[in-house]
Amino acid sequence: MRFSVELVGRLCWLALVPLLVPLLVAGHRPDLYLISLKGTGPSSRLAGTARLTPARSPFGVATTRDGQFVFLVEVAVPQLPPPTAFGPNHTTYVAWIASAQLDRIERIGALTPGTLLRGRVAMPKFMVVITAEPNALGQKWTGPIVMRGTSPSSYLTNFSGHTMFNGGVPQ
Amino acid sequence: MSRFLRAVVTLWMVPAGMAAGQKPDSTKVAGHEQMQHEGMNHGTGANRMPPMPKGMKMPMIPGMEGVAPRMTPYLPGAGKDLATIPLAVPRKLLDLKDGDSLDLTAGFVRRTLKGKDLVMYGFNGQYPGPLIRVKQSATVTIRFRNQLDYPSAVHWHGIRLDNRFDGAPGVTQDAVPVGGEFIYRINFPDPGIYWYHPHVREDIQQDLGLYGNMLVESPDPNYYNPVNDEQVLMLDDILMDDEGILPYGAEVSNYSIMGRFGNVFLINGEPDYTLQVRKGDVVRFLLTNVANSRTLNLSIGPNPIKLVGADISRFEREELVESVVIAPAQRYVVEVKFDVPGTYAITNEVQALNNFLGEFQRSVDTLGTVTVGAAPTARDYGRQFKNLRAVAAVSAEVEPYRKHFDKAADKELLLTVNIQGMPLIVTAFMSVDTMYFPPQEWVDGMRDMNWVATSKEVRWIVRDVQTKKENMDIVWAFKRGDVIKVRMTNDALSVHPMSHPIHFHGQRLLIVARNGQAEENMAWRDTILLPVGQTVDLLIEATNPGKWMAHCHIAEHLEAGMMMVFSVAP
Repeated sequence: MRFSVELVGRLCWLALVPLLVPLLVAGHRPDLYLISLKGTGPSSRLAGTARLTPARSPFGVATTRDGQFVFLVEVAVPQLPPPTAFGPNHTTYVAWIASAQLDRIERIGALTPGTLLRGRVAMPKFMVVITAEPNALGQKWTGPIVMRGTSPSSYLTNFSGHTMFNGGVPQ
Repeated sequence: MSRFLRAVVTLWMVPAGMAAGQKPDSTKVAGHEQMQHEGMNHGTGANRMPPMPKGMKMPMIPGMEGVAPRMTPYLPGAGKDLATIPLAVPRKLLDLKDGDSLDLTAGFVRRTLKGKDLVMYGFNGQYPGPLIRVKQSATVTIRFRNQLDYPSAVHWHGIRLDNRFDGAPGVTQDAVPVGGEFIYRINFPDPGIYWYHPHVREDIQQDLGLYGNMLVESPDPNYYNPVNDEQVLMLDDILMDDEGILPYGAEVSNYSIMGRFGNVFLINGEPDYTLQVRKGDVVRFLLTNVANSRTLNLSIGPNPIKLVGADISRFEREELVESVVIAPAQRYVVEVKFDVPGTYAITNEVQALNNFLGEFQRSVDTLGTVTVGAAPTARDYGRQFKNLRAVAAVSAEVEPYRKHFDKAADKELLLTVNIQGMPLIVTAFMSVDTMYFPPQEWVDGMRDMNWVATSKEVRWIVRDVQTKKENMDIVWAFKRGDVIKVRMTNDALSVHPMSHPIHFHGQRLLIVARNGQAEENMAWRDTILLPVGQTVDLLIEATNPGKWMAHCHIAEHLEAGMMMVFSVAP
């Protein structure tokens, strides 16, 4: 008996899903050209943005020859504590672009709070990562990750990761 | 069990592995066999479903069984005896002088593509239609005869001609009935590459082969750079399966969300275009994208590409590009230098979206090949190729308009879509892929949902932001000499944003800014590509009186309403 009630309840809920999902999703759809940077761990209160602007192209769509979209990235973090807050050897913050699989990491450059740091990216899915570093010259980060954000394209996940399979609640 | 209930139950039964977020085993989902998408195959015959894009596999979407587009399948010439239909021949070059006349007949032709005998359309029995070559400022008369099974008309795309000959039924003329004719008188004020095509059910008539180029030659012998060869290429794709061409909708168009993406690539109507050149040759390609919906990202191996011209003019400055992104109806003029012997594929290389797996997937389509022989070029134009010219004539033409670049927009348009009445399961599943839309969708990665969408359910919209009027309710009124700044934004928050190639008839325009950034290298155009979530500022030079159309040049979007009119008073 209990099983039947649960079954009916579950079916009713699922019946509403197709109706609710579009509304919920529309309300939660991310900005396609803005990455929200969030602090990690002890720096969780930090916030910033990485704005994506399509790179200049005479065609209106900037791509590489293999069809990767090319964006200019503008990283902005209004406030950061001194880098030494993350370790005595850390003298600077560095912003990076990392592929979703972390197999490609590209340095954007040293980040100064309150100023814009500009870079360029041509990856399908990527992260913007800000680390505290001893210097701004490394090819890969060595210090702690202070902030991170994922590209809007990272919202492209397999069907099982979508609202349809999550009771209508966006991830 | 009702379709809806069945869908709900099916969803509820989605395997636990998927719900846990792991990559689905697409051979086992919901008990359906893996298909590329055989399992999604809704039968054979008239209203069958299209194959998935090459290299993309997707299991049947739960609940989609039995769902089909609500339209009458239509394939022109169905039932005709193939033997009675003339075999199409490759296009011929027609040099027309000022005052010349041409008979242009649209009719049935027989073609064989991918081993299938097909009934298609052709102008004068050719594929593509005749290549019409004229001198700048010439005027020619074209007697169009409609021997199709459907009303038609011919639009002379990009030509700033006399309004009454623009070939836009409902705006500039009535459609030419079956068996009827219409006489067009066309003058060619601008040099460059243009094209002609029907403006009636483009999704069918253009797709089946009714298109041709017009090459307008400048009196200036140095208008373009010297080259060893010149190739006029019409780029197309057509959607086929093992039975032939996939049906169209009789009373409404189908594939109305993303447009009809083909899976057989054609250059000048052929799937196996080849070109032989010598080592060191520079070849000028005059490209026209005549596909219904597909934007291409073209390259020819690693050979350097120099961008020279766009729709209606050359660029202010020549520049080297990695590839050529060309949207439906656009034209680009490029030069390519071939220095190393070998065979190079002409490719469309993109990052396709696999919506099911949530991945970008490298996708390479081959449209043709260029073979570079070992023999050296007869004449070396390497120095001229290396020189990136500044074209003073274009800058001089643009100069009087610069004072308008920074003015406030006179008109604002929003490009968006409204979808209603689709099967519930489709609506629900469309929401699955709505968290991310790329600036440009290169492939149709949601074939099933696109297939069932007709222009009955999908309404693509161009909305006047100031008046809130939409599509053909918009009637802008300008007068000759006006310079109008139009800001167009492609709504990223609609249920299914897509990039749009927007074409303005009868005038020429400049892109002055994209996303607030000034355009650096101007060229006069008639069709601009506006990616998802982006904004473009256009300057339209209203010089040509009449009532004109502006519309999306994705054929299915046009059929789904995405058009408006504007008038220019004398």
